[in-house]
Amino acid sequence: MKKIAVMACNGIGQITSTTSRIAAWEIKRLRPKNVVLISSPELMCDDAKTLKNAKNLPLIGIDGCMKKCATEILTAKGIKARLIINLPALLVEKKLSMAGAVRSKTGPGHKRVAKAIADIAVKEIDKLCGKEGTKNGK
Amino acid sequence: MANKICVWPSSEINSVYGLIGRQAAYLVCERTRPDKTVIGCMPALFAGVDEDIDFAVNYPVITLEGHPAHNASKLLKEYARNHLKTIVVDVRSFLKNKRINVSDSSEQRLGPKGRKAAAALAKHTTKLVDELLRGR
Repeated sequence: MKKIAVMACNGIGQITSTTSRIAAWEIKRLRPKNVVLISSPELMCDDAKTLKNAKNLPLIGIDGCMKKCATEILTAKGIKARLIINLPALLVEKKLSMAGAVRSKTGPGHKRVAKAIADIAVKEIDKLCGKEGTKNGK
Repeated sequence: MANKICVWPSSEINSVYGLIGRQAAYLVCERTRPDKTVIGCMPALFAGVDEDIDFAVNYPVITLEGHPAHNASKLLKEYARNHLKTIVVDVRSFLKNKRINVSDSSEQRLGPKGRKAAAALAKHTTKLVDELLRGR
C-alpha cells in the first residue's frame, strides 16, 4: 500500500491554523490506509520516525496562514513537498468564508474550508497511489 | 518583573495530550487570564516570526507538553536562547497525578473526561501564571 505523508502547519494562534489541523484529519479520514500524518512539532524537533516518514514519503503540506510555517519547516529539513496547499490563497480562490469560526472550537466555517483542502489533497493522493487510493477510503 | 506570561502548548496533532494542552492554553489565554497572557506558536517560532520570538524572549514561558520528548521546551532552548524562564508542564504526568482519565477522548475530540482534563490543566496553568506574575 503506497503511503503519502500529510503535514499541516498545526499552528495555534490563528483561526486558519485550526482549520489546517482539521483538514489534515479529514484527509486521513478519507484515505486512512494511504495517509501518514506528520506532526509538525515532532518534525521540528527531529523525532527520528517522523523525520524518516517526512523524508521518504511523498508529502503534502498545508500552510494555515501567510507566514507559511509548514513550507518553512519542510525547507529547513531539506524536504521537497509534492504539493503545498495555501489556505489563505484557497479562501480567495474559492471565495470561501470563515465567518463565525474561532480558533478554539471546530465549527462549520472550519469544516467547509477543511473539506475544500481535503478535496485537493485526496485528488493528489489518488493520482500518486493509482487505483489504491480511491478504493480504501470508502 | 514580567507583565505578561506566554503559554506555549506543544500541540502535537497525533496525541490526545497535544489536544488537551492546546485547549487548556486557549482557556487560559481567552478566558481565565486574557489580559495577562499570550499564546506561543511552535511553527511560528521555528519559522522566525518576530511576534513569537518576542514572546519567547520577553516573557516567562509555561510550556504544556503533549509528548514525552517535551518538544516545546526543546524548541525554545534552540530558537530563543535568551528567554527569561520556562516552566515545563508534562500533560500526561499532570493528569496521572490528578488521577484524571481521558479514555473517552482522542487527538481530535474531547469527551467529558477530556474536557475536565483540559479545565484542570487550565486551572493549574492559571495558578502558575499568577505565581510568575508575582515574581515567584
